[in-house]
Amino acid sequence: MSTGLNRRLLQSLWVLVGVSVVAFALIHLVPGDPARIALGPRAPLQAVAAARHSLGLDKPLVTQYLNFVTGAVHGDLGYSIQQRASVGGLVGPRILPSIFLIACATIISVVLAVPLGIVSALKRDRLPDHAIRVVAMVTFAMPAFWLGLVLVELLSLRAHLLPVSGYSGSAAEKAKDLLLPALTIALYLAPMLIRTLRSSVIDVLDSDFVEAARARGLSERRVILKHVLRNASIATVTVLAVNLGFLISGTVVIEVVFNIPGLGSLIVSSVQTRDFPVVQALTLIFGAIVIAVNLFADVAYAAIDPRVRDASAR
Amino acid sequence: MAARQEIVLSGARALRRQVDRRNRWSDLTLWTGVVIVVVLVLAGLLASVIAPYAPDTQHLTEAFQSPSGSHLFGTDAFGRDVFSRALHALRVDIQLGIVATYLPLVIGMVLGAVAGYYRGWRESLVMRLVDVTIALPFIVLILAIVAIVGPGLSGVYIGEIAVSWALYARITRAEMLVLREQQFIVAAQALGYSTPRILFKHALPHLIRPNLVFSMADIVLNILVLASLSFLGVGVQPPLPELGAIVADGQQYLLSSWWITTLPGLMLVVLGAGFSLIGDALADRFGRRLELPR
Repeated sequence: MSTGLNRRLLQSLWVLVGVSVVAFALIHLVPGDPARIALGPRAPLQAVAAARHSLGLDKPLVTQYLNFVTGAVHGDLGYSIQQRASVGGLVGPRILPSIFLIACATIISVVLAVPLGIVSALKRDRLPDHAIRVVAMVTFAMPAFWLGLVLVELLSLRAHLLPVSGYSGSAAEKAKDLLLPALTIALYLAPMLIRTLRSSVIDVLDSDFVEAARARGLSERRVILKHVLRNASIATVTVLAVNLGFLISGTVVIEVVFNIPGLGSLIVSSVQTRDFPVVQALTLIFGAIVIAVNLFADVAYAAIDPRVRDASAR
Repeated sequence: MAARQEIVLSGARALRRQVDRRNRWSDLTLWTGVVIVVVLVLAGLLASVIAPYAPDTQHLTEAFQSPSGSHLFGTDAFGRDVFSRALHALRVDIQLGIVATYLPLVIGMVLGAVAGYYRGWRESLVMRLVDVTIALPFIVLILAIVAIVGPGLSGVYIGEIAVSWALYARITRAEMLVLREQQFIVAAQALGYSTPRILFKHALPHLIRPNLVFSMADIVLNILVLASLSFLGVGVQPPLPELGAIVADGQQYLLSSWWITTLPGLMLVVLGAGFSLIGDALADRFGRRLELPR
């Protein structure tokens, strides 16, 4: 267990270093002078020089990277060129809305996808399976922003059931604001979950231990409840961790559509205004989140499943 | 004895029926998908011939007309024919979908095959690069690259190619690890064949299938990313039409002129569903799965 865990930790650390190098390199890959591009062609020379200095671009490359990393470790994420504020101060208040949104979306998505994925596998190659797969395929092809707008048109503007966009007021009002964007992201994520769950449940149904359970004379109901569902629940957690990047990608776009002040809408507006330090910091943050969640899922998975535990110890 | 034979035969017949059922279904999905994709690709290629109006000619007196015989998808705020714009946009979207999927497929397959065949430092190098690329949510990495290159179609191309190769490398390396232990590869090595010959003539036919299956889902994702970025204003820049950008144009008239957002978006859905149907059928045939590999 411990050698496997150590190796996994080390690997995560390497990936995190890689992500930090990518985030750091961004500003140096900008064709031309990043300070000039961010401030525009009409900005006075002194302002550009000052921006270049505050970005640390006049220091040696290695010093810059070390400053970037030590700053990030201490919570100093740099200074926004456009908003003239510390990136940490911009990012801080936007973390919770994003987390709430992702959590709501995940819950709705699991509630939708798990039963459909299991039914699809149990009725493999029959009408319910075909129907679920076709619906999932069409949903997968829907652009998330378009789906969001169609839902706004139908549920908010015409039926007046839910607020159009925004995120303000009391906790209850905020929760109501999050409902429609969370539903949109859930529908965007669900096809991926259904598809993966279907194939993992089919694997379980075809496995030797299910065959053995049937041979022992267990009723089909008991086989499904005791063996299939238990394995499907583990698979769900893994699938969620694996698709976190996909989920975050959808959230970034949906936050803009619904005007939610989260990390996603911040990275989009920073790309629009070419506010490089903010883009760098958010690249690092998103990478770190995905790495941490996947590490956690792997460790949890190894703790639950003896096959994985033994394999990783080898 | 006869009873036993009967049991085996009935089992075989049941299996046969199951396989038949699956084949009939995958034929249906495959051909539906092919028809959809072919029609839309032709529509995009021939946009300048079949579009009833020029994509960016403005007729301010004819703004916000609802869909009708003369304007199939209605008109937008500038009186432009939304259907004609959507046809021209189709070409931009499909072109990106194909380039940003199959160029990375080739890059990823080469890197993945080299990594899985030679192992050692080449494998470590390629796989660490893959790990870093996959650790970032794809839209974050593409947005970051667009921030560097600057908003526009070329930024999206560079971003998507820089991101997409990683999953193909991952798929190919995993296949290669199994293949290199197989007898026919070992035999080819024993016969003293050159490495390129082994990789291209012997391994390639086995490596291409899983990549091809995944590429169908990847085209959909890549087109949707272009549409999303254009919708956010950092992808295709006006006046070039793009389906996501047209949806964004109509966003502020959602209640009064629903067709500007709804119908071009629906075109994206149909296009994506076409590719997905083909992918699903190929996955059935090749016994592969369609979900994102990790």
